[in-house]
Amino acid sequence: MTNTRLFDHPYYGLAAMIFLMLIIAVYSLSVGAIQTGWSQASAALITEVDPMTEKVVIDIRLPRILLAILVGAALGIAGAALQGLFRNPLADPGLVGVSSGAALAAVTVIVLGGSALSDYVGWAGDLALPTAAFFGGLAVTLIIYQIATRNGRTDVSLMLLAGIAINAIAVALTGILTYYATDEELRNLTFWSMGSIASASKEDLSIAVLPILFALIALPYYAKSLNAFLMGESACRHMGYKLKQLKTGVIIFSSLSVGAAVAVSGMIGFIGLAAPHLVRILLGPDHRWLLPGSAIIGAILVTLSDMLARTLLAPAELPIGLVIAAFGGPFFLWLLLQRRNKIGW
Amino acid sequence: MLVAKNLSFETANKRILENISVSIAPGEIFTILGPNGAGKSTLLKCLSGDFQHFSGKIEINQQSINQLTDEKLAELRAVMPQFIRLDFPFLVREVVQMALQPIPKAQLLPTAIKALERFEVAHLQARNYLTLSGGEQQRVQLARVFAQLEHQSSSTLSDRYLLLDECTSNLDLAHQHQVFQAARQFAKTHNVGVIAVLHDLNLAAQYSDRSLILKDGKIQALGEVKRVYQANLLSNVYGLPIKVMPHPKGWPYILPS
Repeated sequence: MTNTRLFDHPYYGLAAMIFLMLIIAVYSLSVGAIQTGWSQASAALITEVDPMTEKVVIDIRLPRILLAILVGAALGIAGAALQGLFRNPLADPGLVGVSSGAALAAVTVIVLGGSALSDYVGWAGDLALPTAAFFGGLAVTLIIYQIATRNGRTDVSLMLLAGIAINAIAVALTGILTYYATDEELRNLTFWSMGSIASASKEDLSIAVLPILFALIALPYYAKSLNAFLMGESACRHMGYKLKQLKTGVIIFSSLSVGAAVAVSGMIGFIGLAAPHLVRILLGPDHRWLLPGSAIIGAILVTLSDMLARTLLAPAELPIGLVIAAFGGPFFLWLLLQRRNKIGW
Repeated sequence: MLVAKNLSFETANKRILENISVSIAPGEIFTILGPNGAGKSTLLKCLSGDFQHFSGKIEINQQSINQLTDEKLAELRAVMPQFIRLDFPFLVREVVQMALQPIPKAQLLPTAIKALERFEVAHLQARNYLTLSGGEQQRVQLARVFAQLEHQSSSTLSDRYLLLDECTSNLDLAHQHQVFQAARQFAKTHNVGVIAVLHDLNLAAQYSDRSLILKDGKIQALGEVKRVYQANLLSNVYGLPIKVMPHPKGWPYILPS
């Protein structure tokens, strides 16, 4: 048999992943510049503990870890959905430019929010940033899809090249914006390009939680049609799946997900690429398991990376983008090597 | 009936089909023949609902094809395209199950295995589809396409059609015949009209009830195999001297000479 999946039944696999995620989350609560230990950390979640531990665990670490989980889940599920949409496992929101489109829109709002865009910011309030990020991501997804897909087939090299071009444009425009930025805004901009959840606040959580939960619930609804879609647009239609709804839904909800993640954490790369790959190895390519699985694995990867970022050089802190790139880069190379001697992804 | 009336199709600067009128009845095997670039696949794509910008009329069971939704169409016809590209490691049975939307969960596996048995690939059901040979992949896709028509909820009510575009291109001799025997059986027992684009004239002669010969988007001949298989006509269409002999079993047999 060439059935290479690790788990015979996907429910067990998903359950194991969720369990692992919880363990990592609780462990992550207990480590950092101030060590509290497992028992203290988990006790702080449930009952009253001494005020110091309470403050560190509940006020500082908990929002950060919840945000890591949310952002990771958002990037993981969006990666899986985009890879289905492009019928190709290289379609990572970062690589094809969806993240940088979202980030550029967000940066534009930050820099021009006081001047050119003040009406918009005044009208949209707290939602100005995530909304802009959503539309930035949406615009890039639509552009890439238009460029790379012809007659129901995706041209992978076109997809990646268009992604490179869009990333370059976004970097250039962001660079230009920095000349208009104040000092404080400039610090913000660095945060966007590196990606960070270090300043996670309850406000960040409340901005990101709804759109991301919405995408997490909506995207799996397209799982079966996405499976059929992998055999091509016409085969998918021939079997009676609703092609148009599928494409619209996936494009909107993955942009929503990436937009919300970028709005609160900047550009965190590789998660959308790595999470679906790991899940395919564990559970196979079926989107009914791949989508929720990628969300969980994405959450695990971001939580782990954030924990490393906090602890490796404690009390100093690394940017999470650096940690992820340090692991993600080699992972991507390994992936390409695998591709050479394996059939299929 | 699947009917095309005065069907023409053109792209930006080229007329690909010109004034095609043809009707296919449930239960028959109808083959579309002709040289490369004659418009065979385009005709099939119009008949399957893939191309909607044609002029003229296409009707499935008296309903205009452009007015049917994809879901409704999927109940009335199944399509086997020339190429299917799948880059992800689905299991063979999962590929077939994608076409079995109306089937309750408990019956998915047995139904998929039965569908695979029709093309002698049931033993591959737990294999990674990407590790199969081209011929095996083609037979799995055939199993999927046949299964789609067999298991539609309204299947007992309306006439249905199976559209096959060069569906034996990767198969060895024995399997080519096995596929058309299965198609003939399927056409009879399920009252399905089978429309197949083919290059192998002898295979077509043996299994078709009627054939259509296309060249440059125009009908060159249409009718029963014995009437269509004329040496002059075939030689002209293919630009190659062709002899037509009687096969010992009765159907015409062609010999390029």
